Amino acid sequence: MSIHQLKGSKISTVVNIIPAEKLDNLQEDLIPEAERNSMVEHTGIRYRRRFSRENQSTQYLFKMGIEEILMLTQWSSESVDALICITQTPDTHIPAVSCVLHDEFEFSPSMACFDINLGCSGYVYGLHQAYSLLQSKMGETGRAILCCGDVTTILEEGDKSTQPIFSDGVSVTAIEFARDAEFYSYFNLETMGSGKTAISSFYNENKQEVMKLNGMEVFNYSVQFVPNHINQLLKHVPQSIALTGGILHQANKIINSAIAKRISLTGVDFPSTLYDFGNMASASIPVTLVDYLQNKNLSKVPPYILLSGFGVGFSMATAVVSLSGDLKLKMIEI
Amino acid sequence: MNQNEFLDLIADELLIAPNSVTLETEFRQIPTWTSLNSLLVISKIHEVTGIMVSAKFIAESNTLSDIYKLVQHS
Repeated sequence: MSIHQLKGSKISTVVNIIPAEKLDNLQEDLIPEAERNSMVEHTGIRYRRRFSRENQSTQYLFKMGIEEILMLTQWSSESVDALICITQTPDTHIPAVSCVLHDEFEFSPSMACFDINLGCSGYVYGLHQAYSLLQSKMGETGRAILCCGDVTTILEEGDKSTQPIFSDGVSVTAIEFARDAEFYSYFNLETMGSGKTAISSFYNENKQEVMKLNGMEVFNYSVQFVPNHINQLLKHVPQSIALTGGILHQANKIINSAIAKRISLTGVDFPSTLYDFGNMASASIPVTLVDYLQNKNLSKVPPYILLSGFGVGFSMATAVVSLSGDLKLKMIEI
Repeated sequence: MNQNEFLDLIADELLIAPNSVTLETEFRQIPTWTSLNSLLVISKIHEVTGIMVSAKFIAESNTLSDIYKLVQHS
């Protein structure tokens, strides 16, 4: 285990950009008609989302999210200290998406920009990176923007194991740091590289990159390692910290139910957005977070939440982070 | 887990008649052995016995007996 404790950072605003278009797995020709109901019941996924082809650009979607974040936070572009982009489907690999967006927004030269190549664990890794950067930076305050998400352009047409599961979606998060703030966040970052083949990509005969998923291997790794990974972190979180809920990466219902049953927490919700949104890779945690919190009175819920991402790698990252009463949340469907 | 309990579990998860399979049945020949249903089988086995049947083990096995040997002492 790799436990970290960081002080003074909080999520201030989350903007999700998801496709309005829903594809219905009960009408999906890839799945034999007799198996569709069972597929939806067991994976939990009725609809998955696809942007129109011209919108399937992580760079374009991140840009849209950053514009919205700057508007909601009223941050000037020169006041942001770091931009981190997490995606496995960048429009191009060179240069980093964060550097391209740095230019688009005319951010300050003193801004740290980098990309991280991670999938379902990426959001929590990104929070950890942002919190660490802001805490280690000289100064009393700090601001970071974290973009994450993927598009489904690397799924093979006709692939029954990926097409009905994955959705497009991105999320952009604003993070604020204050050195005198007294709240802490707790992280556990872990990797089981032996699970690298559970989800991987290769180049097909047309020299196109396609992603393959071995569902049974993902299940093996998720259920064998993720509950213990989460429970290890919980042992290091002070008992006085009350959790509003636990947001797990939305893999599928079989995996998520198996993990939730094995976590040492009682009386904590593990909300699901699988039915309506499918598996949105690294965006699934912030999308579920917004869906879960947007109708709650944040000043009346326990001020901490558990976030846990796991998947491609096989990579795992779990955090217990504080929730602020003035947290702004927005879901944009395009 | 005894033989009957194991075969009942398989039949339940694959939505087939309880007596329609034996330990000699080649599981890939069961019409409802899909990638999703096979996941349900190993999920249920793990829930009931605590034993995780790996993807590699399934890939190298043929009959239900191969799987049963792994779980019979649970």
